[in-house]
Amino acid sequence: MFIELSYVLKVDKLAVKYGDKIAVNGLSFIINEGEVFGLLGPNGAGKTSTIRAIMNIVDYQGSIDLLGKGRPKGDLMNSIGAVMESPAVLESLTVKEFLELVVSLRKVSDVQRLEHLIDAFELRQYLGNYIMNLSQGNKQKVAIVAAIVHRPKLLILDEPFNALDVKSARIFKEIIQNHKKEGGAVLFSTHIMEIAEKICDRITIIDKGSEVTSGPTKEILEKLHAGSLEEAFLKAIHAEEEIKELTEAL
Amino acid sequence: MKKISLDEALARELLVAGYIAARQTGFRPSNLRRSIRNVRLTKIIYTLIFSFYVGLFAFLTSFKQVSFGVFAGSMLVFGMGGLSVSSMMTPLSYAIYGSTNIRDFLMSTSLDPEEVHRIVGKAIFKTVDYIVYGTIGVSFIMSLIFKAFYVFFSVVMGISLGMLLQLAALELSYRRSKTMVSSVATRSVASLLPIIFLIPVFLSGMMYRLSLSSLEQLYFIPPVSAAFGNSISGALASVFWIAVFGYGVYRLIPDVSWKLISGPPSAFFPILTKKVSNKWKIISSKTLALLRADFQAASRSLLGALIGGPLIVFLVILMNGVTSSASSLNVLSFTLGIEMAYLSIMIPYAFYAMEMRGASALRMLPLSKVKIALPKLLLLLMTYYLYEGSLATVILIKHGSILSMLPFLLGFFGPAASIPMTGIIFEETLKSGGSPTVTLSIAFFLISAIIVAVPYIVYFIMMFFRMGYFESIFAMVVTGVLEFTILMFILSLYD
Repeated sequence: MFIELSYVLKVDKLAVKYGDKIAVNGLSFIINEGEVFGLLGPNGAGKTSTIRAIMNIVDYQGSIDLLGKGRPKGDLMNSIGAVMESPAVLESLTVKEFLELVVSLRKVSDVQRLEHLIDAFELRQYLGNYIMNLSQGNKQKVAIVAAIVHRPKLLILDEPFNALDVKSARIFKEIIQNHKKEGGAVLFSTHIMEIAEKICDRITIIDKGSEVTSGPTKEILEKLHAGSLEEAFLKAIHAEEEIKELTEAL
Repeated sequence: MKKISLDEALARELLVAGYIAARQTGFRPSNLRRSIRNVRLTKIIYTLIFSFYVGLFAFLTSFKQVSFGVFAGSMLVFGMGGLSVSSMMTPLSYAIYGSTNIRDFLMSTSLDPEEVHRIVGKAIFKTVDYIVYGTIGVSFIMSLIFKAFYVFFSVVMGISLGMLLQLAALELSYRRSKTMVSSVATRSVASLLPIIFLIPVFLSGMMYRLSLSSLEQLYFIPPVSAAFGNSISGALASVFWIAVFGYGVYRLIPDVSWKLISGPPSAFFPILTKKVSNKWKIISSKTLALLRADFQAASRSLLGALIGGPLIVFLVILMNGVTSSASSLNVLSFTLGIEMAYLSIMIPYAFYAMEMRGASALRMLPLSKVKIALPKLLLLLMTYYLYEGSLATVILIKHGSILSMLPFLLGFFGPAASIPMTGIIFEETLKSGGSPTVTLSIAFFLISAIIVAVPYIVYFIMMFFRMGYFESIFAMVVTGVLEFTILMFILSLYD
């Protein structure tokens, strides 16, 4: 009997340690095809560490399975496109040289898509510029183009809207929605609740490395009797009382 | 609470930015507290290593039993003094530039600009202070013990000139060039200035025949004057030059330090306005695509010095081969061959070091650790045979015995094993959030020195036990292949 896999990414009992400090503690989740999965948490909750483990950048315990083929590495990395908190680019290269390297290594034959993306993110005038000289927002745009040019099955986005201008942020949101419609999956990590509420189908809230609550966005709002995801989030991490006390003391 | 001065705090921040460099690599240190502690430890270890070498060479050149020659000895410690500063400052400046957070913080304080420049200059000096004090201290003690004051003058002259050239190189690299020719020239000079000290170190073994008296006419010219440090006139000339270089450092350091934390060097990263071609240059081979990117990055990096340096030394060694007689070439070929082998492994190392800036970007691409190593291997193959092949050609032209070069023409795998070894060191460094700085250089040079040497040692041992020339070469090649295979396998486990 054949079991058809519908999940794109399966993370099971993930643990990440930095020396004695536990950054992620037994986290499990699944991301299915055509789904935007939100990984939410306050600063230092373990979101970036989780993503770094998936990207094979840090050592971890537990299991990570991409498309039923095991840990992402080597050629399997072609199924992933990642936009990290700080743009992952080679700053000594020009924008054009860096994108040429990316499409060469990813074996992208559809140069037209690359051209469209460059125009969409208004990068054409910067093609000859060294990435080191670009503004943070433009570096982020280069990182986005490099992450999506090969139409990956899984998009991993860690605070991807950092430093993006309004127009580019809107374009990228549309790209995420189209990616989802085409059966792609998205792991979206952020602490900006308004964006997460709009684009995530399911979320997991983590704090101090562990899961606090998890489920479809609507269900979480109902479960926590919250009018917005921000309210639900603060309730989930028990921060409402603390905020009240702190602001009263000011 | 313990008070800390601003320049002390800045020096610490610069060292952390330089050594840990999470901003460049995109990797977080697994244990930040430990990494910061290691920064100071690394500085101490590096100081100890260079002080040891300066002390050792001072001992070897001063001890009466060793007829090394005063001039050759002076050049050796002069070169070591210069290298001690530039080898620490080159990777540090590479890691620091662009860390504008320090400048932004200082601009938000009420300090006046001149004061700020002075403080940053002091902080930059503090990143190399131990090494300066350590090597000068050791050379002074050795000079007193052996009454060989030329050692002290040579080291101090090397250090002061080393700092001056390093600062001049940085100053040059921040100058905007108007034409492509001047841009390339500026870049080349800026890359090569800090490693000019490799030449006296590599050539000291060939200068031992030069007697001091034959150089008497040149006693006022640096660095020759330092070799005359035991005479009053030589000592005075040395003091004069050290004062000149020191004054240059004093004048340059505040401005250059400020530029360093204010953005990338404009000679290497000019704001381009010219139109780029509409055609995309896509390469189907991953190895060649990565090799091209490495070359592109190398052409605009201060670490390009690690590529230019070996090429210059290669030419100097080759010239030495050309001017030697056939009989002395047969004797010298082993020394020259080993020097060439060590020179060739510096180029792939430079490529690994350059990939550290933005290392997380490479981790997101479909590249295994072995695939990342392949372009370096290809490059080493070309460099190695360019170096050893040229030497063999010189020997052939001069009717020397080509058999003396056979161990090198067949001994590629020993140097090749340094590539997976470097890959492993880099992976470990990335895990601890490190950067291409001093720790890595020490690890690379110490471990690679052993790895490259092991096959040659096997060859020597076999020859010592009279096992036959070709059998010894065969054992050497097998050892190299084994080393290479085992290390490649270990590197593949990092995927």
